Amino acid sequence: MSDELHCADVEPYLSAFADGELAETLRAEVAAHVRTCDSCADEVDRYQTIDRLIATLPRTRPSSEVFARVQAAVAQRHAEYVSRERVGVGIADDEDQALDATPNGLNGARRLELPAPVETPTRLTSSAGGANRNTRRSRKRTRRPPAWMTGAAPTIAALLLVAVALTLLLRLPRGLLLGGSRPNMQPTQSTSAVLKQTGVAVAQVAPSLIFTPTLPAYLPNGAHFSGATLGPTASGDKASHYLDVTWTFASGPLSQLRVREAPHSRGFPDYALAAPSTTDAALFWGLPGAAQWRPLSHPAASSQDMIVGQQRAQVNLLVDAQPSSASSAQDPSVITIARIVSLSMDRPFAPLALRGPDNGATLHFMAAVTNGQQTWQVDGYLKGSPSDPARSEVARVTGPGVNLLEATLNGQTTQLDENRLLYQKLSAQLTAATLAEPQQNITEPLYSAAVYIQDGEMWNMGKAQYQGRAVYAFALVNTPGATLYADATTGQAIALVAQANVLQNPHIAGSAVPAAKLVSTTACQNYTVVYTSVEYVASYTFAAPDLTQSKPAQGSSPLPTGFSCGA
Amino acid sequence: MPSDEQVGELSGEALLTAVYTEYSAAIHTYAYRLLNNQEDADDVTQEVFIRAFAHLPQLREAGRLRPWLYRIATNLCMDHLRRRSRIRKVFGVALSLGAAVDDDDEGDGPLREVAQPGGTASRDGMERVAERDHIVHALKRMPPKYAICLLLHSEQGLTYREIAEIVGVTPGAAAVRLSRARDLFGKYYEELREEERR
Repeated sequence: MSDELHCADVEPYLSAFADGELAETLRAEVAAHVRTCDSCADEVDRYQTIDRLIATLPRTRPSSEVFARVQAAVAQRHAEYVSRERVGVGIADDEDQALDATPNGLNGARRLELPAPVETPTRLTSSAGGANRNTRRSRKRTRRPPAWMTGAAPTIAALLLVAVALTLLLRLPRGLLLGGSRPNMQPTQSTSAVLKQTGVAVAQVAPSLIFTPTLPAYLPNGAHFSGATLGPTASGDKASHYLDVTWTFASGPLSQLRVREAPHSRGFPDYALAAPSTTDAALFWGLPGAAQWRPLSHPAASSQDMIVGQQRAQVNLLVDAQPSSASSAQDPSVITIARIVSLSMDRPFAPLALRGPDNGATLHFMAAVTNGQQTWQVDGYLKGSPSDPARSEVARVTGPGVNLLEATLNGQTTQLDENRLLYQKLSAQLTAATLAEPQQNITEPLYSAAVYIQDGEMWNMGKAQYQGRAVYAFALVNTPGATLYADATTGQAIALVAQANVLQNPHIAGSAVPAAKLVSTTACQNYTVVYTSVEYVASYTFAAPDLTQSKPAQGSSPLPTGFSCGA
Repeated sequence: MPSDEQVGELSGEALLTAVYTEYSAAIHTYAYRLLNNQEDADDVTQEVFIRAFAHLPQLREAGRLRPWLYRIATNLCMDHLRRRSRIRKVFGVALSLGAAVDDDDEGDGPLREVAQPGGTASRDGMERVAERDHIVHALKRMPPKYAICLLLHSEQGLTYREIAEIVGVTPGAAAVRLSRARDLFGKYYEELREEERR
């Protein structure tokens, strides 16, 4: 920085300056400016005041029973670990699952080589387990001695102590470890063992069915196989037989899980498709190339039960998840379980830990803009949120009668009508009504892909190519035709793409875009926006319209009649 | 209270007790601030320590225990917020902390209590409660990614580098996010004060 610093030069650093987070050289320069500039000094004071305000909020504490529950859970993990060691399972399945739900260590790029989705159902029974085990093995084979190992002997010693402590913790008898007054905890079977047991039982009754049974590749932790039976009677006509497979749960959100499979001609025995009024998009899901799962009803089911069914060519499948609690509200975790179990009957559940785009990335979005009669296309680049005064945006709008280039730089929006060679500056009020940048609900799947994947709302469809890059493709299970792409090397979500005709898309159909207007020098149209592509690009140079070439009549264009409707 | 480094010297239940004693209140406060609900904050706190303890051997540096705990807590809180958001079928509404806590009886819980002892004598208790309301509601209005950065720094005292690790961005990006978070908070806070004056 030069000696002649201006407020605009130091403004980006004031927050870090207030926190003492600047490097010494820069800190000294900013400090020198702040000493002579009341405005910037006020800004620093303001930041510090905000910190003080927030620091005044009272601290809270966990309820007293939380620690007991943590202790019990640790003890249960110990019991499960001992049980699995005994049957030779090795790495605990639920541990794998927890790891996947756990933040990706302290380094977001730790999983540099993403594992391929496992295709064999029996290897996927632990949900994230298969993938994570592969990751671990891969890391073990290729890992070089980490840098910290060379200069961190004390840390290594501490870690060894932690490891020894944990080993002791997991291997000591429970009574010795945590005292005698612990809840009675039954060791649970691993889900892989339960699915194996289920497979054996189903294979025994399969000859009495006219269809080939399909088993889920995923079960929630704590499942106990209850039975695989034929209905309505085992002695009836083979063509009328359906299969019931049931699992029970001693704890957790479910009390029972049932899969019923019936010949297509029998529909859904005892169940029916839910009333057409059930329109919640979150309760309909499906994978590309597979039939959709949709809500079902059962006369004896409670309103908290989550039942979904799928009609295939030969067989109808249904998943009936019965919650353990009689809560009045439907438990979202029950919906999540039903979703993952059902979809795992179409394709193995192979979640990967993704991360969102870097904060400074530029958003490239394409959208179809329609007023119900005509459609225009928007191709735009955006950096910074709508509330960011330094936001930059360039968007080209093309279509019937319109050929606009709109650019926002340093808070000033200019618009070039390339058909008429007219140029106008838009007020902030009009700008807000004309720009169609994706809002947070649209970018959310990109930033929070890991959570969507963990919840089975995005499904790993395997490796693919996106604009020449090796990626993993993830289907948005509630949004047919929408796909998220993640870089196969870095695990970073890079793009969300929808078919142009996706209109019921809760994430990217633009339902959050308020009543917007397409404002041009010749028109002021109501329109709706349907995003077809939202992606992040590493860099983009924002530039104002090139006025020297188009020779517009700058500022001379009168606003069209009704222009105030843009507000 | 054990330091991060001392954690490595403890074992078994003593380790669990020490880590929980050291960090549970801070993690709970952080979760409470994001979720505005005691039970949810309890759930998150519980899950943080269960997961942390299960994967403690993977922690390469004991000194990074604190940001690791916050990272788990952050992800769990975001899960909670998203699930609330989804179950309420507000797909079309941008997620904010406020949008996620509408049903929580104003969501303030203990924050609605009269000011704690130790406040400055010059300020009336009611004023302090009103000010806290403004602070809490300003935080609620913020998009979670900004509220998270602000709370981690201004309330929990984490450094930019730690925040960057927790939210998965570079330290520079964390600095930018925190700067924007402060601007947003200041804007909302002033709006609330202005609304009260009217």
